[in-house]
Amino acid sequence: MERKILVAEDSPTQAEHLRLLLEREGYQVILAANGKEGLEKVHRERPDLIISDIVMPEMDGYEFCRAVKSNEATKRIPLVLLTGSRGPGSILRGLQHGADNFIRKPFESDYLLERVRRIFEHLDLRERGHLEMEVTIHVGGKELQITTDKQQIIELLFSTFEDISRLNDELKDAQRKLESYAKNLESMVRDRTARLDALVAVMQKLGSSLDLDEVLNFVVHSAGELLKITHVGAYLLKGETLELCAEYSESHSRQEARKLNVGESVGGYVAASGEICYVEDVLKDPRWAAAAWARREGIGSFVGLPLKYEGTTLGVLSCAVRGIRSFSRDEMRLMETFANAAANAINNAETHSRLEESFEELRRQQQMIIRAEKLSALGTLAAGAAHEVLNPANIIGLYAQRMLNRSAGGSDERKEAEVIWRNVERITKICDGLRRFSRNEAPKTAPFRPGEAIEECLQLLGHKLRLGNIHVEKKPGLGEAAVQGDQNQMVQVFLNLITNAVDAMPEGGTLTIVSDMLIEEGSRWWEARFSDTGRGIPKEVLPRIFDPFFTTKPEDKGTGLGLAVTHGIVDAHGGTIWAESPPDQGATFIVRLPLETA
Amino acid sequence: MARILVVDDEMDIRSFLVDELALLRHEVAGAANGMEALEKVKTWKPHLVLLDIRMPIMDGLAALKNLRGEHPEIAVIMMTADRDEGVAKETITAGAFDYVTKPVDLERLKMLVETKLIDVLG
Repeated sequence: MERKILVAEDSPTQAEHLRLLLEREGYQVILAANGKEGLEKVHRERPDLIISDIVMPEMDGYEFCRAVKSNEATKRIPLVLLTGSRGPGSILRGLQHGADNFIRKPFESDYLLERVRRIFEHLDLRERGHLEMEVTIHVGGKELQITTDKQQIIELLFSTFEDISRLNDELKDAQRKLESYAKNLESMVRDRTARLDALVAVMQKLGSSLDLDEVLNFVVHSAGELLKITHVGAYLLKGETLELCAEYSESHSRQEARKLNVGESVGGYVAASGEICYVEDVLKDPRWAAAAWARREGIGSFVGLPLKYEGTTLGVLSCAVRGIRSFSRDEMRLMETFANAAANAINNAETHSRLEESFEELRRQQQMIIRAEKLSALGTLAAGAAHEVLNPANIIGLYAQRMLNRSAGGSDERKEAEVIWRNVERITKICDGLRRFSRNEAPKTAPFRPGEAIEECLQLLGHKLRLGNIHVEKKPGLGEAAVQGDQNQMVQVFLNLITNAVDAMPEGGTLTIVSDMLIEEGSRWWEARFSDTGRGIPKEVLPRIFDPFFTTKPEDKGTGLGLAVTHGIVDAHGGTIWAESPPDQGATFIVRLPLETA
Repeated sequence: MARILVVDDEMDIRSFLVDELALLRHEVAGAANGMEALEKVKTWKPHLVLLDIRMPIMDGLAALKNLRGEHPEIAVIMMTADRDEGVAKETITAGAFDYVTKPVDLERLKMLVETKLIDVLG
């Protein structure tokens, strides 16, 4: 025989849920939206069991219960109250109103059905002996009068026992959950601590090292090991190209993309967009360029993070993992922290190298100033000394001439007078050089063609060049470029350079003069390179060749002032002069003069 | 027979040149600076003055300018240790047409003196 159950429940969804549950078990279900409707249906339908919610509009569960239990025709129908509260209040109040069963909400479906089954099993028992009794109980300082029978008490005990055992189960469950959570927590704390340690280490590295490679290597290794990322690469943006500067690989294999153009592959996309990019499966992403590598390494997911400093993208941190993997918010945040550390390192290194450059520049300028001051002081001293020496030298020279005139040709006196005269001339030459060197006056400027000045020198020295067996090559001709300056002084410069070249090639050789125009540091320059095929200038001598009194020539040939004077003249013209002497080649002197701006 | 005045602050040079030119049978006198030279010119009326440029009290260029103004008939040969063309230009602008550089080439100087004297004495 089909059992009929009336369900009084105001929530349509809960009512429907109960109906489905009970019907599936073969019960016939009648729904009522409140106690009033329930009472009507109880009288009309005579259900075998009533399940009622407590909180309902119009007539609540307690009233409904009292109405059912106080009617002789319906009082034997078992009634289950669905209570929501944990305390005993609602149960006792239900007892007062005659309820004989309770189920706490929320309940498991199986629990409810089990209870329903058991109520029906006990129905026979209920039919026997209805010993009604008045019971007075004290709960929470209140005195309650309950009219009940044995059956109701038994049902109540059952309900309570089941309820308690259910609560116990729930408690055990909760405890298990707590234990596993505690364990979890421990490992979470361990994880956190490891991450924190790694971050602290990265920050310390960042603070203590200016070596970019070292810091980047540290960052990629920390990120790889801590986040278990198969391949981590730090790419630096150089112009339009990303260059791999540090890499970590779990499998010790090399990252395939050593260089990427901005916009190329996912890494290039990150550099171009400046945004973090997560790709679940690189093989499905049309942007991904290294498909073969990804297949070989089993790479699935990828995260690219821009290395940004103050809004400027300096590079990309690429994180590729084996297989498909999603990253938690914590992991993403950690990756971003590593990316920030790397960006900071790059910025620090760049700032440092810029600082070093300007420091180097400062030191160079300081050296130039020291040199200029040294030369200037030296020049003044030298000029004074030269003048003082010149007069007595003149006198000696005059008397030497007199001796020359008075002595007979070929006599010892004649020879001795000649030696005196020759050395007076040498003194004079040195003094002349000294005075020229000390002349700090600005050159008398007029536009002239340095190419023509060189031609003039070559003509002047034609005899010397032929005699020395020197072949002169001019490439590509000497040009028509005009510079501002003192042509006479520049002739002196070129004479000096050409004479030096000739002296450097005692066996003869080739003097190549290449003149050209070029733009450097935003200025236009005329440049001439004088290259000889001599023995070259030893490396240790090279830095000193423009120093006054420095000479490698035999005593009677050089004053050690030629290049110092030359340097001074070119300097005064706003130009530069330097020498290069690669091993096993001749020397090259390069003169640069500023071109007139059109 | 001509009168030549040698002006140089270096006593050794002065006496040397005086001796050498005297050998050419000229009447030669010396002066130690420009001021002394101008005094001597007034009374002694030389035909030719050998004039050093760098001297104390009054230098050769100042003396030259005065001579050109007061005694344009006197020939002047400048002597300079400066091989700078600037000094040469200034000398020529001031009215000297000849100059020798120090250390003086004695032969060249003697030749120049003779040529000048021929110009002055006719």
